[in-house]
Amino acid sequence: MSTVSEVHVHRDPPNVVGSRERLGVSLLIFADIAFVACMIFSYFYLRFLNVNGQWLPDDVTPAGAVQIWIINGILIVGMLVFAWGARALRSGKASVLTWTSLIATLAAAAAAVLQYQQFGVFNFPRVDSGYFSSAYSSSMVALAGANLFHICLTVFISLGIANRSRMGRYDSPSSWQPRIATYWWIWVAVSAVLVGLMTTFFINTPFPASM
Amino acid sequence: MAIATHEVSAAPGSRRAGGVLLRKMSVVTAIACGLILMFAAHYWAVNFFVMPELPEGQDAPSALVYLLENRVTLTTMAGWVVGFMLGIGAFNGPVRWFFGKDLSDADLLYQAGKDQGVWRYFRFTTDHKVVGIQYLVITMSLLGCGGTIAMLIRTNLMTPSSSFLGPTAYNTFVGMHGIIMIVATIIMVTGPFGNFILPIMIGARDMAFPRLNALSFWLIASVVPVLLSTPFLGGMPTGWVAYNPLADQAPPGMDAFVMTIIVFAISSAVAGANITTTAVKMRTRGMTWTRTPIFVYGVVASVGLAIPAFPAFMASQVLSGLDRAAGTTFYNPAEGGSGWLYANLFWIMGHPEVYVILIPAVAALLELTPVFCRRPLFSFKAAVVAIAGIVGLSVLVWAHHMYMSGWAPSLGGSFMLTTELISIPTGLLFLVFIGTMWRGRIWTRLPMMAVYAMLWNFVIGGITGVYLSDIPADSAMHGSMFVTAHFHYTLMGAALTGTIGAVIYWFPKMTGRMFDEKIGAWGFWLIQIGFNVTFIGMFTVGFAGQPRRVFNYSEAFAVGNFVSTMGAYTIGIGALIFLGVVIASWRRGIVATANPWGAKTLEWQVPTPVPLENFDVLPVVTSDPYGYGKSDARPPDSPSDRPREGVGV
Repeated sequence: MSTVSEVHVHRDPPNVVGSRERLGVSLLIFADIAFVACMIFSYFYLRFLNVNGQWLPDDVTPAGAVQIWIINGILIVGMLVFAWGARALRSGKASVLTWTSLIATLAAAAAAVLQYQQFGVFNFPRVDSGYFSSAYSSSMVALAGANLFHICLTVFISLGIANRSRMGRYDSPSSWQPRIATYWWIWVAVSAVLVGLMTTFFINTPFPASM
Repeated sequence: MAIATHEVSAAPGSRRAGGVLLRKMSVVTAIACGLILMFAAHYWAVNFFVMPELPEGQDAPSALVYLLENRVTLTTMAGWVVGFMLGIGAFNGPVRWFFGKDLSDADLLYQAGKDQGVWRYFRFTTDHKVVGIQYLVITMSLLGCGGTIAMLIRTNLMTPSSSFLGPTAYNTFVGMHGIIMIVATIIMVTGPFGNFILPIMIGARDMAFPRLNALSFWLIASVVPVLLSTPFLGGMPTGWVAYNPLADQAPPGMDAFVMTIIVFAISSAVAGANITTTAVKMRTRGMTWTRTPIFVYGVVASVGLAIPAFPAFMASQVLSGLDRAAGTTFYNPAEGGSGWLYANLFWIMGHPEVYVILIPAVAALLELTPVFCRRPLFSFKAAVVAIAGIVGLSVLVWAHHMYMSGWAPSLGGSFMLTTELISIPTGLLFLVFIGTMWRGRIWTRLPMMAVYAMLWNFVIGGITGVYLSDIPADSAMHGSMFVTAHFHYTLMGAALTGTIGAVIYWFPKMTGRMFDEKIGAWGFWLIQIGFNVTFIGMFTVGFAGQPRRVFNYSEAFAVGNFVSTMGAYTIGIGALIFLGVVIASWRRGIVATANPWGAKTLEWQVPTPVPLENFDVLPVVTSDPYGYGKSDARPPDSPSDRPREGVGV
């Protein structure tokens, strides 16, 4: 039960709010890291077990590494450009953030399109029953889906930052939002690179079939 | 806790109120939007996920029909959840942020529930006290629902060959009872008290992220109807653990479970980040870590543990949903999947989850024990170390749930060791309780009864847990009613009893009324007696070999099961009395003073009812929260709201 009259809003200074929000968002990113770690664990677990020899049967073609690394390259460029803008904001150059975050948005959008398009070029035959025919293809579909979700969220965040920067919502003392968005960008790029490394260097299982 | 005061910068002038849409949204629009999007999603899914053209005369493969059915079901459920959240106003903040139209002061106050009366409980209200009450009500509703299902299960088990429930309904009810109770017990302390009490206790005006606070609650509210739809969608035959590949083959009721867990895990992550940030960053001036109440440690440990653990639960269900609806084969051994993958993901969450439930409930009792013993908390640092030890070890014990599954037998010894080690910090907590009570002049009120009951129950739950952590003993008793009795002694006997104590203790602050302890004690003790009768009966039949999750059983177990059912009915009667007292006291109880227990923590130093922003000026803490000396060894004879020594809010 609480009383609700004669109150006014107390606002904390930007540095206090920024410090608080950095910790909160870092914890949320940590939860997302735990989720992606579970997906990566699943990939390696099934690869090591190679149940019934069905990790990567002969009729399944692995996902092409070139497209994955193109997506990763675009994301890394986007991350660097965005981080540059956030850094420029902290040193007082607010206008830089507008166009860097816009470029980063375009990079994320391009990566999203390529990631979506990758689903179409996966050569994962299905048996007549409608199931994917290997643990590898299942893992790749899940990882690509997680990547796509990350990138779409990044498009929303980056475009929002660009729009707010254009409207003059950010200045040097209140630069914590772009800084937090940089954390997200770094994590998205890192997770994409991790998936790229897995699907480039850890495709075939070194273990014989288990039951 | 002695406190002084200091001013903080006051608010800038309010901007013009905007947010017309914001003011129209409530649970009514949430249900309307939820239904609209649910039917739209269903219509779209039925027309989009269609059977491919097959050669004439060929029947559609049953597995493909099954996949399409699950796609439609999951899409429909997602439509409901998204629509509900849209209608309650959860997306207002992100959309307005995106367009650079931040909320004005008037909007913020409106969102905090200013001058909205009871209706604020049915909106996307950000005031932490409103969210706390919302959590309390939904927790009690879920416990009531899960408890009713338990009565149905026990009625079926009253006689060996009963057909009170059909086998399918029985299996579904066992699974639903499990997951409803797990969800309810996970939120039962961190939800109501972590939201209502914790910010005041640390001298904050609100949570760090008020909108995320409301989001975490309404996500749970949105998914409760989805979970309750399970029996109408063919049920779930798997129990609450939803083991695969059995779950892969289950009817669409399983989709409700999958959707519930995904949404619940998101809610838990959001709440965890919010509560942790609040406790770490918003403690008032002078509240060092050694002056921070033990309840704060308990809640932070719980939600901090949930942040890495629950994504594993979510991942297990995302993969299950993909298997069911997208045709992946994570858990299908014929196509390279593995049931052990599911078991690992599930139990990596599953065992920390026990401590996510237990730690805050025990911490709540640790919080109130010094108040009723008028003695400082014995070895505060030992209590903190014990909580940290339990948290640390709890992530290293998950495979003791899989001893008999055949997974990694060579690791059994190490998991046995880590599991048995966890009894050391747990024992330390017992020591803190007993040390605090030792030679204290105990004020025997109902919250203190909860401490006694918890200690009794937790000793039994803990010691039987040591048996089960031992591989040779577990090989005989796993999958039996003995296991069921053990974890009920832990989760219900310790955690739920702790929560009941917390409800009675903080009831005056949360509702402005005193809890009727005379009649409430009848309900409380009936629950405790019924609980022990139920589960000691279950220990005996389990020890004799009765497996759990069975619809009918051998005549040899008839007496023990009959006794258990009688005990369960006693719990039911006690719970109804307790619930009645809660409602009656809330409506017509004696008006509570600000500090009826004479406690020293900050939540008792603010007026009752608590003002919207808790403190007009923020307090400064100058001493520890358990400084009960000999001068005030006896509690006040009558409730008093006079300030304690050194207090000056």
